Amino acid sequence: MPNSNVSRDPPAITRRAFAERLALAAAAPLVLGDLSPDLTPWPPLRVAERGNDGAAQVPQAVEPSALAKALAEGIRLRYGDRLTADDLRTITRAIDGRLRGAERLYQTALSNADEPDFVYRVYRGD
Amino acid sequence: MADELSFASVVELGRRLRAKKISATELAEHFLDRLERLGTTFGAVVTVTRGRALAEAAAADRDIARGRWRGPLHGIPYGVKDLLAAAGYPTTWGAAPYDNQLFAEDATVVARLKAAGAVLVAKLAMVELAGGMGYNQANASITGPGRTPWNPDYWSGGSSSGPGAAVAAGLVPFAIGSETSGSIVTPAAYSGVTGLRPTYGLVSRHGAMALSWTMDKLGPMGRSAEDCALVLAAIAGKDPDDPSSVDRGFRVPHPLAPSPRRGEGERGGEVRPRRKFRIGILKNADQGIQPEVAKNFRDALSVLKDVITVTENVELPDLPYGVVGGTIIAVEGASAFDDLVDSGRVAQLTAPEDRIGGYAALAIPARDYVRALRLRRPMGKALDGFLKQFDAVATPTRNTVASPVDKPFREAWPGVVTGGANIIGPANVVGVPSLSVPNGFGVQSLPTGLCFTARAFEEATLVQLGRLYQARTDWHKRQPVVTA
Repeated sequence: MPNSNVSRDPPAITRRAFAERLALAAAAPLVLGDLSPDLTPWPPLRVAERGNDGAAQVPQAVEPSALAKALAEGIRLRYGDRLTADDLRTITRAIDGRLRGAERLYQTALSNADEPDFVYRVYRGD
Repeated sequence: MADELSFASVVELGRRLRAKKISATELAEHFLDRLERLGTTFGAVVTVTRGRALAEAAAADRDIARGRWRGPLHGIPYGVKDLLAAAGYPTTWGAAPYDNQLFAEDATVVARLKAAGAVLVAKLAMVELAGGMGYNQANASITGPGRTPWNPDYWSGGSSSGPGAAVAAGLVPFAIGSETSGSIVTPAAYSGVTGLRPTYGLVSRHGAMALSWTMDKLGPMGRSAEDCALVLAAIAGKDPDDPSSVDRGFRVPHPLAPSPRRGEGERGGEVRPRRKFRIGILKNADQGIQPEVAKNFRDALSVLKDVITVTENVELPDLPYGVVGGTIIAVEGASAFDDLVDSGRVAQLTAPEDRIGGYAALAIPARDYVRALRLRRPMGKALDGFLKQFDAVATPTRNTVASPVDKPFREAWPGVVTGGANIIGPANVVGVPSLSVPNGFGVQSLPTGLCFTARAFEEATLVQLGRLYQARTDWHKRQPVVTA
């Protein structure tokens, strides 16, 4: 059903959408159920951002943040005996990507009254 | 007779059973034979439940002989994704660390299908732990990659890889899959079958492997929207063993009345709704995706043009669905598999990336998880406000056809990574239903899917749309060439 209102230009990607995809790319290695090509998870290390002309920019390597490295060190201290250096680098990158994405969790305002979407029910047996 | 049976719908098989043209035992034997001959070819099967199947089929035959007809699923064989418990058989969750796991009781869904007279013939393959450790390739299961019967060099989709492949190959008439974020509709599209992901809570999760307690859903995969509706009607409803289940069921909607112009012209006799369905098309839904997928999407909408009105370029409320969903699944999955990761047995998983994928989630702060849960309520309200403008939103189910089984996903279809409009993630975060129906073929003779998404508990609307589309097309009746 062709429609003249539909833009046929290459889809632009907003900064916000890019941040979302980056966050998903980071989260997905941990959690994947949805394998959307646009959410393809790997690798958070190298990401391509689309410029205003719609062309992909040269992917840039992303150095994990100090916080990501510190959090990964916690994983190493607990499980380092079973993880290789490569494993730890991968884990560090995953943590870093997730941290970047998690910023979006705090960009939507919530009030004190906005509760988690679950309700605890008190239990009383027979 | 064999080919007539292998790809027959639940409706047609039920007709044959009621007419006593075939017995439930003969039907079970037919599909058991196909599962045993062809199941491994498509990486579709974990366990063929021959003993249980023949016992249930014999019971169905006895009931039917006595006139005790239990409904449309009575005597119909089916399979379940191997994350559902079935007493007496291993439930592997697709993962080597659980290859000998046994449960004493049936999952609620299995018990309800048994009560409806259906016959369990197989535990079907799946991506290990339903993808909870972050797989990046089709070969991420104890049974190897699921293969779409349309081209076995390509994936059947995940994480319900076995249900997709088995239904498509005519190994079972229908199957039960699960979806946390994409795991029913994706294999439905990649395998060329119909998949219905119900509203969160409509189907009990009791006895199913948990990946994300607040996002996991169970639903039917079958040959048509009609078949999926019949199955959903049997499995939906409140379950005291699943506190998240809701106190409402699902009734198969009445067929739409035949057109008043029945018998007139080319479209004579087709069913039409009293009013046209309002369909929203997401902005960029068919932009920057595989051209064949885009064409099939537009062709599908054209097929429905006499029964729908389309609003183009609609946009979801701008909220962080992906991060919220990713955080919730990561944290709940990390907790659900805490013992697996902590013990180090996670190293036994098939895909190398799955062996380390669980560790990073351990570093997610509680603050982020609770924030994600708090955001989900306003997010659900906003998405409901968006969806209620329409009867459904339509998208291509996936932006590409299936990936090759021998390549990482990221290398499957280079250049198709930024296009399209993702509704799988947002819909799963808030728990609203979707239906995927086959709508043609793309490159490498691989199937594509058309997806409708609607407000919570609007499964009947989705079924009506699926019926209308499938009454006008025959994509869902196409059969792959299947050889051992």
